Amino acid sequence: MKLLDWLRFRIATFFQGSQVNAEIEEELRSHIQHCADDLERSGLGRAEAERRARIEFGGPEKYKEECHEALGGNLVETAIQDVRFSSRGLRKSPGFTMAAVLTLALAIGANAVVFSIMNAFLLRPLNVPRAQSLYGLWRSNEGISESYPDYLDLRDRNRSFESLVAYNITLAGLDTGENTSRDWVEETSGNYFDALGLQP
Amino acid sequence: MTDQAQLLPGTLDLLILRAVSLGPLHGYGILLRIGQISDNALLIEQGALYPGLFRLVRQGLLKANWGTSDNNRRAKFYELTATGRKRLREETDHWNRLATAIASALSQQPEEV
Repeated sequence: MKLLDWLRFRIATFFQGSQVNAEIEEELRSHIQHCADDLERSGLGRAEAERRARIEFGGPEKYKEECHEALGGNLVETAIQDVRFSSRGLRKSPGFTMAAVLTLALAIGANAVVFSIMNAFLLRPLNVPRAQSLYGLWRSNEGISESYPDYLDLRDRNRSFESLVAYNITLAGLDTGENTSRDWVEETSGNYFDALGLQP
Repeated sequence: MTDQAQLLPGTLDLLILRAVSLGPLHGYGILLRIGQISDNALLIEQGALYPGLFRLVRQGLLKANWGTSDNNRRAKFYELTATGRKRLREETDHWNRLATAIASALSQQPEEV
């Protein structure tokens, strides 16, 4: 019930924004007139009485604003005012605006790069069938590489895995016809694609 | 004017409820009534009354209707709702308890403590 009242009230203030404003103004004006009536009765001229009444009342704009807030404010209106105000400020100081925009652009760019790397390498599973049964083997006591004969021994006596693949990442010159470029290459054992279940 | 007391936060609402509990009043009338029942001992900015009135209407403690005043002017008249009357009773009790406690605390003599 309370919520319904509140909703009806908010919708009314939203669609009748200017009417609400006019009503607040009329009410404040009426107050000042009544106050002036009293002052006039105490012997002042009408103009002087109204002037005094306005002074006694205080700044009507401030109170009008506060009345609006007391009514729950007008969220949309305030938001539009905020946007207008800040864009005016930004236009006035282009240097600051540029710095802010660049900072944001760099920060967003850096974040996007880091995320796409994380996404590709950590979050998304490898794009091969049954990626969950894929394992890497390293023997730490012999440096980072295995010798090829060791691989052959391991492969032939392997009973734990379906198959065993060896690979080595290295640099090679790639001749594209006009000029040669240096590229990263992966050398692999012949069963590479079969073991991963991929068609080259 | 100078020996008028500033209002404590929150007390204006209570005074408004009390003023309207004696019969429907417009904004200026509420100010006069508060002055009358408090022997003009309180300093109230006239304009500050209105945000308070709008808040009380929104809380459903007052209802407002446009009408014509004794001065033959259009004015918005405020009166208590049932909820407002209940709230006035509660707030009055609360205020009295608070005021008694503070007064008692401040009037204690050193030998009694």
